[in-house]
Amino acid sequence: MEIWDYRELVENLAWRDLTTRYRQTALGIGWAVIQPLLTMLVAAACFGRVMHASANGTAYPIFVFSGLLLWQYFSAAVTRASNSILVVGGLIKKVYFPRSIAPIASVIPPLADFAIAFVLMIALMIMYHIPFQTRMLLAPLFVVHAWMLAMGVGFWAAALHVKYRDICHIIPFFLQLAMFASPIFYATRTIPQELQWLYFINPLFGIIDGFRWSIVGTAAPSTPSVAVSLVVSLLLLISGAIYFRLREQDFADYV
Amino acid sequence: MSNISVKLSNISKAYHVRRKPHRAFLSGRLLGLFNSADSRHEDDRMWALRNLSFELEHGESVGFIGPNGAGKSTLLKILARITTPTSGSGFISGRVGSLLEVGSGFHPDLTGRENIFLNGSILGMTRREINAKLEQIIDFSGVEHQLEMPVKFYSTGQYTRLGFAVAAHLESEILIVDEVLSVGDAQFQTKCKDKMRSLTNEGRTILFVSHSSDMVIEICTKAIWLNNGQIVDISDPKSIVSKYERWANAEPSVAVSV
Repeated sequence: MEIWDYRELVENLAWRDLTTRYRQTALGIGWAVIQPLLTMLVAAACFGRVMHASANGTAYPIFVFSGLLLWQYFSAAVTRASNSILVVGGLIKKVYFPRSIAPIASVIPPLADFAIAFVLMIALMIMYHIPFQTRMLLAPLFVVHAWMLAMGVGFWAAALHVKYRDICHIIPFFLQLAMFASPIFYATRTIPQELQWLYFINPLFGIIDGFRWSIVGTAAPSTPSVAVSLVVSLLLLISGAIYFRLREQDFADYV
Repeated sequence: MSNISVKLSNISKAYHVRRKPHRAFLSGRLLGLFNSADSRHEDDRMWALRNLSFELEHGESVGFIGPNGAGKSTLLKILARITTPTSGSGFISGRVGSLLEVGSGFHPDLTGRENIFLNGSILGMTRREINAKLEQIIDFSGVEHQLEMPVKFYSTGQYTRLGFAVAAHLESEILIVDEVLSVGDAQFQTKCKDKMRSLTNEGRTILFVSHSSDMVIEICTKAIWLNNGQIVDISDPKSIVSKYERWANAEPSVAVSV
């Protein structure tokens, strides 16, 4: 595979983004923690009482934060991947490399933010006396799943974005809708019967519920929702990669 | 083993000039998804290259000359695999290194040293290759004292030198160079010319666009004159340059820079 030959470029581009984006910022890497932390605090202050029952015995801050963590990874990864080709537009017009390197590298730095925010998650877990459980070792699987879905959406969006600038309006809007349509601030079981179909069209249900189950111990997602989520993510990833490959040779003419 | 390093047959490249910006997202997508070539009208196209064919052998260095808009840069982009030809076929033997811009991917906040590794990997070098050549690259660039400084503090000349230094040490059989060397000072230009000559002596093929006739005569073993996306003439650099300059001087719309 050609992409394998260019693996060092993936590392270097990701590393370039990682090392440069917090330069000339006063708070530096603190930004990775502040965003989820403040969102969590605001959510806990606003919805904490109302949603208390929904969290089913789990402290609401921990409930929100666990969902928010993975959501923020997904959301940042999709945003960055969808812009990835235009961001390196100058390069694409001047140098050949497999174009898929750009979206692949673009979803790595958010993973670092995720890792940093996860340290805060661990601190919260200690604060709320959540003991270690072996199921916690499954958490990385759900992160990989989130990556798969983000990469699938990202490939589609990146390839379409080169030609159709509509994407830069669609993606933020799509993410906003997806955030409300995903079990971040509320538990899946609180969704009214007639809206259960959301379950089957939104692969984030299986991912977020699964992640939360593994680290916090809330209700496990149903097998069908995890299965649907996996199938949808895989289909998006495969079709996205194929569509991207079909389009990539023309990118230099449109960026 | 054949001695042919580059062979192009009937290469044409069309750009769509009147792209309809008002085309609705969905309908545009449905129309353009898999049949982007057929769904448009012929008159939307601007032909940057028309039926170009030529062959080069290993160790040849060829200079492309011609007025602006002749298709020189488009040709280099096709050779560098940055864009695909609309029709025609080509064959290139060996690794292609392209220098259509110096310092591709340089990040202003990274140091010179960090950018050597970044730029090298963008050009297709492995970390091991870069490490092996690091001293030569630094030496060639002449910026050893600024190496640990972010490149945003570099002068344009220093920036160019560092960029060229990396690309010149890429072990590629074919090197594609666009008009990028005009920025360095005279001393650095001489260094570049020497480097390019030594590369051809090692059997590498260089494809080179320049508006400087002197440079073409000095470096190239062959010159190709392009106009309107077509080859006007291929021959030795001296005779092509003199023919081209005679033609250009007679042509009021073309200004020749020597």
